Amino acid sequence: MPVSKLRPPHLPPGHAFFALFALLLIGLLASGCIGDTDTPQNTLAPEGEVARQQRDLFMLAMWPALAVMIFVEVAIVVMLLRFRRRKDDQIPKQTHGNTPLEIAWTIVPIVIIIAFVGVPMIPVIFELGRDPADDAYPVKVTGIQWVWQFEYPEIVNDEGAALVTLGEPLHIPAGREIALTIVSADVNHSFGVPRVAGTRDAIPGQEERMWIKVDEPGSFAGQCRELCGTGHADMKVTVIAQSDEDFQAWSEEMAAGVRSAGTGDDSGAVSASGSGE
Amino acid sequence: MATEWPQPRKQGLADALGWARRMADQHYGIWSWIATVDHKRIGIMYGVTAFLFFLAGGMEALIIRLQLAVPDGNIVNADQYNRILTMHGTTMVFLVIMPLSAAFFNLMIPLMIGARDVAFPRLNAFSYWVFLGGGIFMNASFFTGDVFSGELGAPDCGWFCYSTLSSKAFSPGHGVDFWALGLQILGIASLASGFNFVVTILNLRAPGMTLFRMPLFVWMTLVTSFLLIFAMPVIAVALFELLFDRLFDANFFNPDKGGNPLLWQHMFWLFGHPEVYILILPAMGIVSEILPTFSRKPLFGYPFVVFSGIAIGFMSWGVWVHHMYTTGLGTAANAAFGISTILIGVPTGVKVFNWMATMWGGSISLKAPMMFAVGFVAMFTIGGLSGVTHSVVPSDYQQQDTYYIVAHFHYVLFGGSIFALFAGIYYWLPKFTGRLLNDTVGQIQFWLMLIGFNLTFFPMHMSGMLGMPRRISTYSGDQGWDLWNLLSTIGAFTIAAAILIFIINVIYSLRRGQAAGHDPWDGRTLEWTIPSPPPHYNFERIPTVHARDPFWHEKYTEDAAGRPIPVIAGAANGHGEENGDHGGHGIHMPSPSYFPLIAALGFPIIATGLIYDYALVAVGAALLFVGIYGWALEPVTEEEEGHA
Amino acid sequence: MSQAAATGHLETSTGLDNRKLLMWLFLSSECLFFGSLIAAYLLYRDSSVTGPYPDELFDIPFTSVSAFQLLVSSVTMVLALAAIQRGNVRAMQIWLLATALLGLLFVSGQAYEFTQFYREGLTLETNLFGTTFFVLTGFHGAHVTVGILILMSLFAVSLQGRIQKKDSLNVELAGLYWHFVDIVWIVIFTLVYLIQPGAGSN
Repeated sequence: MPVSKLRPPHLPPGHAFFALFALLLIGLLASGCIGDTDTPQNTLAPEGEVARQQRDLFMLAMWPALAVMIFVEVAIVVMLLRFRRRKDDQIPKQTHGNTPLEIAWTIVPIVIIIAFVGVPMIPVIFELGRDPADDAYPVKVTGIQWVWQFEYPEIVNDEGAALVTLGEPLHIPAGREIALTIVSADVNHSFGVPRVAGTRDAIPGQEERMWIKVDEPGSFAGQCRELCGTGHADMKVTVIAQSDEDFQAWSEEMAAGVRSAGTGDDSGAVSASGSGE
Repeated sequence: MATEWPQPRKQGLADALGWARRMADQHYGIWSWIATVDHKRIGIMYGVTAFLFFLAGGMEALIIRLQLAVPDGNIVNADQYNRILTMHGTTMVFLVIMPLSAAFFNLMIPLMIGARDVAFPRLNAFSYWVFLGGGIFMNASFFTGDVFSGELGAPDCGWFCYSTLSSKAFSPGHGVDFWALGLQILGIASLASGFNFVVTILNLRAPGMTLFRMPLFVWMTLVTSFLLIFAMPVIAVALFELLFDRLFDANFFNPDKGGNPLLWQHMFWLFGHPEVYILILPAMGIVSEILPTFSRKPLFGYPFVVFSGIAIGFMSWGVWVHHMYTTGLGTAANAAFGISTILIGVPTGVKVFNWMATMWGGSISLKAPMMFAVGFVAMFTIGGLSGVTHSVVPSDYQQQDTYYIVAHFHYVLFGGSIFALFAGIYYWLPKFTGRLLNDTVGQIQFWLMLIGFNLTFFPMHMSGMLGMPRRISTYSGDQGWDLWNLLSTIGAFTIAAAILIFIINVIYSLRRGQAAGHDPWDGRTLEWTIPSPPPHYNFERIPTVHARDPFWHEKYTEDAAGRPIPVIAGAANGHGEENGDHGGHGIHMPSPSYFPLIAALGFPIIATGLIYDYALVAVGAALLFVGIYGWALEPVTEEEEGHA
Repeated sequence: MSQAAATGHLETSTGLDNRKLLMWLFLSSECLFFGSLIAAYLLYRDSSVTGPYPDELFDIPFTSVSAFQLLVSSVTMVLALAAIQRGNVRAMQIWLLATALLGLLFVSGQAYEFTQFYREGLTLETNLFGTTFFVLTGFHGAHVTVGILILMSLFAVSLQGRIQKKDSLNVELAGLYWHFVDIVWIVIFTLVYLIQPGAGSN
């Protein structure tokens, strides 16, 4: 590569490429911060208690990770520039190692990650993974290829038959803890509504209990997170959190429509609509 | 120069095919390749085959990216999409990275330890043919559907094929059978390879080469081979269980009879996590050879890099649940594995620091091998760090099964393994072809690949954090994922352009490349002491090793002030050009043999028979028996004692 | 390898013969193989939804005799190796045959047992017990069968005079494999047959 008068002679070949690459990387990194945060499934824009604790932990881990990344990348670039072979170079000193340094850079990272990542995470694991409170509002979630079914044990008609909806949004009261029981009717699914809470797998033959809590009324998007066949991409869900009065009203309206087992149709008032099997 | 070509074995079944016998003994021609037991040829075959599968997997990736470039894509339908994504993942892991690593084990290990071949040359050939058979068998599945109406028969359950989607009830076609049987076959190849290289490395080192004088690539191969030996049986059992469920109505993963689909996940990941270290340790070994050579300094902290590799090998068995945090195993299990996962990042970090310290204070040449090696360090670090964020259990609940995970593993597997493997190709291919690859073209490929790679996978961190799940065939435009997906697609085609440039470089250089000579890079280890390409017996005289980086110590010594200076020519041990290679008279090399191929053919036939017609199982079994018996009974002559 | 071709003995860096090291590595991988199958059995031990259950089917005295046959076969295997190490080909042949015969008795016993269970209604698909039991013991039986084939092959080759004192490693390798398969059976017999859940715990 010819060296022009304008270009310093010690830059490595491909420096133009490198500049392009650096710009790209910085642009990509920056865009993460600047971009629109109010997207429907943004895991970093929590609207629920669980999602918020998950997001906070992530930020705690992310900043040190970002710092290490910048340090390593910058160090690499600096070394490539500073120690680049020149024509008159001697063979460098054949350093074999430095045991105290090795010990230091083994112990220090252990301490840092345990302190900044490991320790903070333990209480959150137990808090988010605890059983729902006894007075939490219960809903049973069933993943069925390729639609979500919700059963509300507390919305019953006169004969005690509970409401079951298929392919409809999940209605919950806002500001209150909800107890979800997650099961699957066929294959593995995963119930993920990122702005409310992280995902939880629905595995055939077992029941998953998780608690969620949404702060304010609103509508939140989610979809199945575990490959479950050809309809996987369509297996979407909406969570509608309502104020106490609105939820009460909705419950009563739904309860009135529930047909009992005796009438031969115990799939509830609302049949499958939207994405079907 | 006169050479001693391998002598035919005097007796044996293969002599019934007299003509084929004579053809195998030629040095040229396809028959000599089919019966070869020479590690260098087997390595070339592994490399070429793996590269072809890389192109196939790359095409699959491009289809995926075309489909996802814009919302509501309809290049392929959901069924086709699931099959293509399954084959993309399966191909890249099992048919590309593992065999490319195997190519380097084959090409380099005997040369680096001063041996003439591996411990079991026929077992080595067998590994290759089994791999080829398994790869073809698995890809044949594409054509088992009604291809002309767009029905592909390939597996569609994802590359780890969870239960109960994998059951006969939910995957009634043959796709999953092809997947499971194909992987079973590939597992045999990997297992055989693992055995071979452990014995080779432990037993065939040149005099004076203690374990701590071995090149680091040899150490990483040793650890990887042990991981293969212990991990492959676990997946073999899991696959048998899946196959018994599908073919014979067993209940291993059947919840109706009390079976637990999670058992599949446990077994798969118990294998799967050591597997990902199997995928990365050879790459780390390659980079640990290139960085010192192109910095003209020894690897900093060699014993610590070795111990880190060994530590990673052991610790890899204790983290598998981090693939299953969201499956409801309970808070105690999740917490314990969260901690172990955090800790496994430490030995990797130690390696990164040691690589950087190797470069520090060096005299760095930025030739193509070094660019790719440095690219590895830079990109793998990013992947490793995103991995650390995954280890945080609660946030993993948000990341699991999103594109954030896809970003992580592509950074470590592509930015990591693939970059390192390309570094190895630029570094070592000249040893075997005798010609250097064009460095300028290599630089262009590197930058195009680096830019393309980051453009493809960095945005996936964003779309993942914005909630985009994995393995969805389409997405709607109101989720905020559009821009990131478009960028990824542009990046993917940029990578494709880089690969095209690479292919052109190889083809050009094979004909017109600059002659490499025996030591084009001023190398440090034994492979650079022999001609390029090496004679079939590798070393005229097995060297005696006195130090780590033995060749460096022959070329350079230290003056009174401790500064490195070249050794005066003539005082060095004669190697290759100086004393002249005398053609290896009296060196007996292992004879070629057809039996590994014959035995290997048995497996895909048995597998096909299990799916379609049990009569074929008998045919395949017969081939296997004939192959094994012929192999075992090929006469043991005096100079061949101890071969397998 | 030709490093010491003249003497016919290979010098290896560890001093261990290549093939012996290979056999030990192979057997250690087999530990993982059988370990996974045994783990599946143990994990599912109390989970069968329907019968028949182990305590209804197992005939411990019968299986004990089978186990004993396999144990004795290990003794005869050792005797075969000792014989060839002394250079006594004839004795080796006899003991090899004895080992193979005892192995064959064991496999026949297994086959008989399987048929009995099948008649009682236990198949691969009946329940978890059927699935895990047949797959575990079936793979073990297959390993024994392969072992018998190896022994008979050694026997056949020795009839051609091709196994002499200097070739004793071949017999030793077969012995290692055979003893391993025997040890696996001891583990299976103990964990599957002898240590059962209490009757009716399913």
